[in-house]
Amino acid sequence: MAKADEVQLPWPVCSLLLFVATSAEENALQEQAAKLELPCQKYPALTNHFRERGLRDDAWSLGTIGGETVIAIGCSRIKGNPVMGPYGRLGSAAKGMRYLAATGAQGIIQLGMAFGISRGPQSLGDVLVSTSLIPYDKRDVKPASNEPGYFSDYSAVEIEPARPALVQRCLREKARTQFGFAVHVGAMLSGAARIHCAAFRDELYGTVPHGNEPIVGGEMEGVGLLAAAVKADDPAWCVVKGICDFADEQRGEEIKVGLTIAPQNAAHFVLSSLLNDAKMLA
Amino acid sequence: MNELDKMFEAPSEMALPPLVRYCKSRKEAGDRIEVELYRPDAGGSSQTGLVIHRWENEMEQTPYQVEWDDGVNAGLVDLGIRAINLQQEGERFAFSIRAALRHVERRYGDGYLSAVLVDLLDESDLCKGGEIFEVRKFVHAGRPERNRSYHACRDLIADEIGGRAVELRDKLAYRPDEVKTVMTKALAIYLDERFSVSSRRNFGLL
Repeated sequence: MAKADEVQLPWPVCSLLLFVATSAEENALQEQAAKLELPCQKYPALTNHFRERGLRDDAWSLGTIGGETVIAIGCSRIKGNPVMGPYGRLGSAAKGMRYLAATGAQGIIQLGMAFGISRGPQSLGDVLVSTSLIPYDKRDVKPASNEPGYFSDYSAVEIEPARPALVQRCLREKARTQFGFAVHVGAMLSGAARIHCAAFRDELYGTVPHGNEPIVGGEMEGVGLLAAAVKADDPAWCVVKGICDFADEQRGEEIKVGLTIAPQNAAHFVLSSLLNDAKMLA
Repeated sequence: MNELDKMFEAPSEMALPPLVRYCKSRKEAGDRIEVELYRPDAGGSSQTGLVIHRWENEMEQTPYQVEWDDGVNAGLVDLGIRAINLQQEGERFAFSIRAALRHVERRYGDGYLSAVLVDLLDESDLCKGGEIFEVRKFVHAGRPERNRSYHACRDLIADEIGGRAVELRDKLAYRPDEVKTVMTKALAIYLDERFSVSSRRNFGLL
């Protein structure tokens, strides 16, 4: 009889991957799964399946929720420190490509924390759902006669649409469920910069082309997931994150609060959307 | 009066994408037009091109290529423009099936669509052997509960796939045996790409 970790997993291993990038996001996902009475368990066979492919992040099975078989992948770590952002051997680009190939999943939802655009219309803990991503690093930096002697020309930015099936699920959830936080749906700025400057945030907001959707916030990992599409015009990803700061000079203080509620709300929203879709299909 | 102001008097062809409008005018002038898919890599990670072949007085003109576009392809099918052979028609209709099933995917989610689609295929004679079976045997899908949602989803899938077969028969005037050949290829390709079967084989995982 085969041992539990020698069992051959069926293919595809899952239909939906949930990604997180920090320990706080990882904890939030597990806490919300427990709160919603969803299983969130490690299985030797699953761990072994990933180990055989050189993937060493923690992985939890959330079972089949409605139509989706869901696996959550924990944050990648180097020397114990979580790897944030899109770049590097363990950044979201590499992670997305490797886990899609290892699971055959159709979709990835990147959960976690993002920055908001404006206090007042938005609050800490509000959830952002990306209909598209704007990779703002793709720009031309040109000389200018006035200070600081250059300007950024963002006209080369290409807006990347999210996976429609994942966005649609979030829209259904927003319409049918009342939460203690607001849900903002639209374009999200995405790049590797950790922004602590309202002037830079406002420059992005004011000058980056955003297509037909309003910009609702920004984050760091989504841009890496653009690499993970198996087919050219079939995006795999959607970013769902809670607002943990406003990318300005108050970031350092504000994030102490945001760090707690933002990933909790994002995880709650996504798991709730899966559960309510399951009820819809029952 | 500029281009926008003329819209109120525009001929009905103006509603068509420019490439479809052009092909329509060339067909009406007596040209023969066929299409071919250009896929630089089997995994499909590059943009797929649609190559337009045109013969004027039986002389082939320089082919030209545009990026694949579901709307343009649908317009060309409406004009009765076939692919250059049945293999190519199968590849083209795999894309048509993908486009047609997108709204089912949005409504029911990826996992549910996959499960119901596999269930539907398993009960079809198309999956008893041949190309679809050769892909299907490498795919696992859970068996969804057969409730009202299941039947609604299954009906939508069957309608969309059936609709593509009707297009092959009525708009592209293929014989019944050719329709079956094309749809079998198209479904096998769609399934293969949806479940990454060839790509796993290429990576040595099958």
